Amino acid sequence: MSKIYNMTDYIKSWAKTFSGSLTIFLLVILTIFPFLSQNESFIFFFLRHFTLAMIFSIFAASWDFLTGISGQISFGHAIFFGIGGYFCAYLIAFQGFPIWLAIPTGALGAVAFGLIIGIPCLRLRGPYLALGTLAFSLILLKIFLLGSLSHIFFGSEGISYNSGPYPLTRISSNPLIEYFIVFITMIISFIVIFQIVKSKFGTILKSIRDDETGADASGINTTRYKVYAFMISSLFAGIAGSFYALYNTAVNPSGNLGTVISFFAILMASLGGLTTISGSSLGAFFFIFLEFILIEIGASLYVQLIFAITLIIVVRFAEHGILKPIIERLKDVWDVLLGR
Amino acid sequence: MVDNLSFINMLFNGTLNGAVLSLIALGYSLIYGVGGIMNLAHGAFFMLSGYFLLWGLSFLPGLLFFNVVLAVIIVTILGGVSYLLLIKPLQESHVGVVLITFGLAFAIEQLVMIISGTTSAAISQYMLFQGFTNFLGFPMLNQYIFFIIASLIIVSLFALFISKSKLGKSIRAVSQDREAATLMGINSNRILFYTVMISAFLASIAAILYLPGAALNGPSMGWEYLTSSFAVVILGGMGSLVGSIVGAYIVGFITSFTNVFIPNGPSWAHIIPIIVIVVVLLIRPRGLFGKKELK
Repeated sequence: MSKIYNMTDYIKSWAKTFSGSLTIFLLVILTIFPFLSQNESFIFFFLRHFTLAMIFSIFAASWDFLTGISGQISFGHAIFFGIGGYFCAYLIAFQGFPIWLAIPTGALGAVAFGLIIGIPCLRLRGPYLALGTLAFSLILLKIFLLGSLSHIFFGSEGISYNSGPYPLTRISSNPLIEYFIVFITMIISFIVIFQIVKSKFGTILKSIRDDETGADASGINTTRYKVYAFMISSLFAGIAGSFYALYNTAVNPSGNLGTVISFFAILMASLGGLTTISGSSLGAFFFIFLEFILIEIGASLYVQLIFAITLIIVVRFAEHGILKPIIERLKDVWDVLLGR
Repeated sequence: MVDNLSFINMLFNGTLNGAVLSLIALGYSLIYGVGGIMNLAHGAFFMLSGYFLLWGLSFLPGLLFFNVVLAVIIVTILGGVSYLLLIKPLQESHVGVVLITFGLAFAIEQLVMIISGTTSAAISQYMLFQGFTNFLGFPMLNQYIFFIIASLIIVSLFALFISKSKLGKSIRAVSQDREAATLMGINSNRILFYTVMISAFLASIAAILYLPGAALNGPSMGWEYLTSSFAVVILGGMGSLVGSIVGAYIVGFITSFTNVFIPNGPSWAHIIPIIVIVVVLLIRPRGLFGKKELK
């Protein structure tokens, strides 16, 4: 009974903080937003973009958990994303799994890969780990692209709507329902990740990130925690990947396992701040909409270039992301408005 | 069936691959050994040199030598500039350097893609040495023969430079112990700056000599060379220049062997560097000649 009591107290006190109320405000907007517009096609168009942004929020947050919190630099995060997507798509299209079962199973497949990738990577630190994970993701990409193995891995065509005996449908044909399912998943994922980060487990991960030798010397079994970090991170990446597969009703090697996907995770999480989980969401929304704007004004050719330049600028000048400074500024404005 | 032709094919291409990789990996290993920096844009520098040659020659055809020199100079300067603006400010943060060089590599690739698209381009008409030489029935591109010889000469010159010249010794000093070098009056920052430029220089020389024979396979070709270079350096041992050369030829021959003798060879050949990385990291992370702790 007292645990529930503490929980409500905790939520109340959190809501009173500036970042807490800001988050609630944004969540309320996200909840009301779909109902705001009367025009059918307008909703549809933006709704799906928001849904996509939320899917990538989960993905970016999973990367941030591994790299920003646990200090394991991953340049191959597309592995977990893509495997989750492929597995989920396969289960639905070829084994007739229902969607609500395929998504978690797909995510578990991604966790298996988290284990497979995490263990060899145990002895790697820093840039070695980055390139090691990049190398693994390239192997996986090439294997999936190999024509000679396409009877197992579906080759460069991948799996699409009609590939298998069962149709690979969206989460729901109604974009509104799709939006809310992803929205709720995103909220739950973020809450879970947040709680993990704040817990003792999270503190241990941060200590491994900051000084692995010291953590080791303190008696922490760094090996075990690093593997856990990989598994947790790949779980959420796999969830995001499964959702993405369903969003597109298709999976293929370059679209789901390509290095550009890994790049997106890094990009989005870095913008928001390497150590802030919520920043990943900011980054995801920012880039999805930047891409949308660029395509609308006809500059679609320049999208990735602008992304790359943005990454360079952010890392060079605001290595800890732009989320915290923005919130600081907003807070100051808020204080001024309230006359404090 | 091992016939003579395939065997010579494998030997020649193995040497060729080794020659290219030794130059590229040398530059990569140099920056890492001296500054602890992983320059993920190294492959992009290689690719960019090739494309500068292509662009220069489309604007000023016929002035081969001028364009070659121009391409090398531009990329070398680019290396120096990226060190000053991007790498140096972020030296303390491993994640930062890796992210920013990654971003740089991506940006360069996108720029090239915007200008030249993604299709392959050939600059074979600009080869210094046209034509083939027949060796026991196997045709060898003259440009390649020239390149292999040039690569060996450059590597030897570099070895001399590093061991005898004042700058070379300063570079070695900084790589051994940066603080001590600074205490001895060496400007470590300046040395790092020169090192990055030398590294870019090596990559661009390799590009302008090799790529006219090989063709430019689109702006994303840089990543394969980066991964191969990483494989070579891991195999040879991070921080060991000798290791990079040896590793380069080993990887070169393994790739060539796979290409010629393994069924479906060319598809697997792409993965070879990656397999090398995984195997070495699992079995002997130090590599063959590695001195530095895997940090």
